[in-house]
Parts: sequence; structure tokens; C-alpha cells
Amino acid sequence: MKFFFAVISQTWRNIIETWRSQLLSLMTITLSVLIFAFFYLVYMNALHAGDLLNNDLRLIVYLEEQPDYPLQEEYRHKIEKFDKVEKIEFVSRLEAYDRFKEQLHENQDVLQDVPHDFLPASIEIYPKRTLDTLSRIKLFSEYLQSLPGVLKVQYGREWVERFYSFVQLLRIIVFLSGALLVLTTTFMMGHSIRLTMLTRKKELELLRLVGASDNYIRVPFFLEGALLGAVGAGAGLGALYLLFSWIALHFSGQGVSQMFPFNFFSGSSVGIIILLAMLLCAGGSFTSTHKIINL
Amino acid sequence: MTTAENDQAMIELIRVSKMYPPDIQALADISLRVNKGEICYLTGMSGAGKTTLLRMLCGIDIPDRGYIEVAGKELNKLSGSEMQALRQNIGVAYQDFKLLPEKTVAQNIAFSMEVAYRSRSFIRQQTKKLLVQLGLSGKESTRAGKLSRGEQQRVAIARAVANDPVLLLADEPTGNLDTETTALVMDLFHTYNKQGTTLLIATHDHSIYSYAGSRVVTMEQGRLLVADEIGTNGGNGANEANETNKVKAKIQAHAASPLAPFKSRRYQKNKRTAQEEKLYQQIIIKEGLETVMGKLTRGVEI
Repeated sequence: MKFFFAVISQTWRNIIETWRSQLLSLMTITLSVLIFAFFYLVYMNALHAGDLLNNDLRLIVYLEEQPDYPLQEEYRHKIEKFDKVEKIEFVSRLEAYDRFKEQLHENQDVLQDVPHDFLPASIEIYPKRTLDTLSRIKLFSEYLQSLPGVLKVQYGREWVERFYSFVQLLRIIVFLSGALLVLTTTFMMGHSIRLTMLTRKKELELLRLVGASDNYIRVPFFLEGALLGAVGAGAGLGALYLLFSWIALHFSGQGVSQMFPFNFFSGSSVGIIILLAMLLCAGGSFTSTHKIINL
Repeated sequence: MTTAENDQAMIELIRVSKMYPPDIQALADISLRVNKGEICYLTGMSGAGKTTLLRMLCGIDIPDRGYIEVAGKELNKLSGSEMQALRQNIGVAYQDFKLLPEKTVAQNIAFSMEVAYRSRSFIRQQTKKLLVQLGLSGKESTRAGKLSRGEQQRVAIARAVANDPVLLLADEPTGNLDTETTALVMDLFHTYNKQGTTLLIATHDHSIYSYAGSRVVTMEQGRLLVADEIGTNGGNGANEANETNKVKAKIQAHAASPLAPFKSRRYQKNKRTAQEEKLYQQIIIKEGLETVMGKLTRGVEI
């Protein structure tokens, strides 16, 4: 307990004495966290939007002939053999006509002289919603196209592919900004603590001479790193929240934002990001103190 | 402190040597014992090896050869944490003060107490008390770098004694002080000595040891030149004079031969460790060879 109080007061004193030199590290950590958190937020929301779109995502397989019950079972068997699906629905020519007529509303009279079986029969397939639904749907459509009696497979291919590419790009950016976060926090923190220790070399030597333990010397720097990580991450996330609130205030109720609600991180995600930054900074300072103490 | 406790060694050096590159013999075969509760003055010219000896005793330097024991602990056998614990119990007033100029006087004094996890109230009281005792009242908030050399020296002494050490090593503690302040510092040292602190003081200042009534060890070129001497005003009456003579004889015998430390109860046969036994055998062989060589040189028949 005495050790705990001693290192806490030592950490506090260190911070008070060196806060000016630590300011640059703090700003770097804040900026790194802001960049990472921004892209991660966009990525998370894109995945969420993808989920919402998945709810309506279906493949429509137009058939040459209207299948009878044994053929329907055969189609069902072949589809489920390729991938698990949420639901398979067979739409007869007449059902297709009725749906079309319903969609026309007051213009239904254009169908007056059109035969009721002019639309092809079809199978509507609702794929199971998984994270890689979008990436698998192209393969699924190619498989369905290869089945006998299939005229055409429709699933909004262009849109799905674009969205998939966008999510892939975001994934790469999140990975890169994450790497940037790791590098800047550990190296910047390590470097900054190293400089602090070198400028206080006399003090550290004296601590050794009066019998200070390794932990008594090292732990305050370790805590200082963790604290800077927490404050830096908190400031970065705070800045992102301000940006998010500003966007929400100025763009709420408009087209896309209504279709795809854009949400901020949950409390647990915020906690995890702060914890991660604390661990990285503490790790950086630990490596530095370890090197210098063992010199 | 009882006589038995006083007989126990606080410092024990047996044939300690240290060479600095390229070929500077800082210490040569130094054997010395300082008992618990004793005050011992280490004198000699600059470069005699006084500072090196003190550095060895607080584990800053490692000897090339020889055995060093401080407070019952053999220094070269101590682990890192054991050395840290020992250092918390040794107060050192360095010749170059080793103060942190940007920190206040109070912070500099508190340094050694904080490391020993002393309570805040103890640190405050102790700092205040020492500042009064050393004539530095009202200077607690002054930065150490702003003080005069003499004041800095007193702050360094205050830091050394602040943690109530069992052993105090002081390197030229009065080098920058006037007579009046020297008396203050010596009073403080004697107060701590009365409380049981053993003192080893390296000094040039003849005035502080000539009437002190304590042992004086003189060094020259890394060797113990004059082994021991008792200050002239140390005793009052026949018993004390007798006791002084006994101590003097004991110390002279101790310094006369490298085997002297082995005459103490601590190193008597069957009580020696394997390493001590090895060292004892080495000394016996070397002593024997030296005797034979001496006789041969003088043409004496063996």
C-alpha cells in the first residue's frame, strides 16, 4: 500500500514537472486515436448499413418454365446444397402478375389487354445474413445461373459489388490507421519517456544511491504512459464525438442519413479504445524504462 | 548499546584492492574494521583513496580483490533488492553533494525518506528538525541550486542522516563550512552516533578529529598508512584511559597484519564461511611466502 501511494505521488509529481514536454506526445496520441476512431466508426456504420441492406437482400431467379412441386423440391435441394439460406419462395406467373399489378396502383389499366401469364415464374432466395454475405452473393448468383431452366439471376449486382468494395477499402484504411495508432503511441511514448529519463538522469542515479528499487523508479513512468494514453484517447474520442454531433445536427433528416442511421460508438467500444491506447502507451514507456534502467 | 553489540563489526574490509585504468592503484590491500556505534575518521591527502573506500562501502564501486562486509552483509553476495535495502540504511554525504539543483531544499532532504516509504508527517517533521539543527531554518522552499556551497553541503548532510541510518558515510562533510557551522554538523553527527549510528568520516579537517576522542585512520596512495589513533581528549579518568589503550592496542594489532580480522570471534575457525576460509588460506600462504622471501633477501638462514 505504501508502495502504491509512493508511486502515485511520484507519478503526479513527474506529470506536474514535465507536462510541457509531454504535450507533444499527448497531441500525437490524440490525433492518432482520432484518425483511427474516425475510420473505425465509418467502417462500423458501413457494416451496420450492410446489415440493414441484407435484410432486403434477395436473389431473384427467373425460370423458363413454371416448376411443378417435384421440380421445386429439386431446385430447393440444389440451392441449399450450395449455401444455407434464410428462405426460398417460389413465385408463379400469376402471383408475379398480381404483384406487378399491385405496384402499378392507379395505372393498373395498362395491363388490361395483357395476358395474365406474361411474366416468368421465379424463385426468390433470401440468403442467411452473415458478415461475408456480400462477398458470397456473387458466387451464389453464378451458381444459380448454372442451374438448368434458369433464364436470369438478379440481385442488384452493381450496387452490391460497389458496396462490397467500399467496405473492403474501409477495412484496409481501418487496418492502416490502427497500425499508425500502434506505431505512434508506442514509439512516441517510448521516445518521450526516454527523453524525460535522460534529462532526469541525475535524479534517477540518486534514487539508485538512496536505495530505490527498480519498480519504484519504473512504475511511475509506466503509470505516466498509461495516463497519457487514457487522456490522449479520451481527447481523441471527445473530438470525434464533437464532429459526429456536428454532422448529426446539420445533416439529420436528410435522404441517406434517414436510410442508414449513423451511430456513435457504444460505451464498451469507447472503453476498449481507451484501454488499448493505455496499454500501448504503457508498453512504450515500459520498453524505454527497461532499456534505460538496464544501461 | 551494549558492549557485545559494540563488538560486532559494522564495516569489515579484508585485503581490499581496487585498480582504475590504466594503472592507478586506488586501494591496495586495505583491511579495516569499524565496530557498531563507533566513530572512525579517515584522513589522508587528496587521491589517497578515501572517496574510493567510501564508494566501495555503499556499493557504487566494486573491489578487484578482497572482502567487504557492511552491517553483517557481504557486499559482493548481495542481490539487487538486498543492496537496495542496505542502501536505505546507509546515509551518504557525498563530497560533490549530489543535490538536485532544481528541487527545493525540503524535496532534496525528503528524497531518501520517500524511497524508504516514510509517512508524509514523518518526512515533514524530520525535514523541519534537521533544517533547524543545521541552521537552515526558512530555507525549505529555496531551490538547492540557489544556495551557497556551505548551505548545499548541509542539505546533503541532512539528506544523509534523514532516514536514521545505521551507518553514516561522510566524505569531507565540513569542507565548505566555517568553524561555527562545522560545530553544528559535528554536534548532529554525535547526536546520531549516540542513537547508535556508526560514523565513517573522510576528512582533511584536522580540527574535527584531533580532539574528538575517536579512532583516526590515515591513508596514503591507497594504503592504510597510520592504522589507528585515538584522539587526545577522549578519556576522563583511569578507566577510560585504560579502555582507550585497550582499544588502541586492539586496533593496532588489527591493522598490523592482514590476518588480524580473522582474530575476531566472527572469523574464528569453524565460524568462517567457505569463501572466508579460502581467503584466510590465501593470506596464510602469502604471509608465509613473504616471510620466507624477506628472510632470503636479508640472507637469514631458514
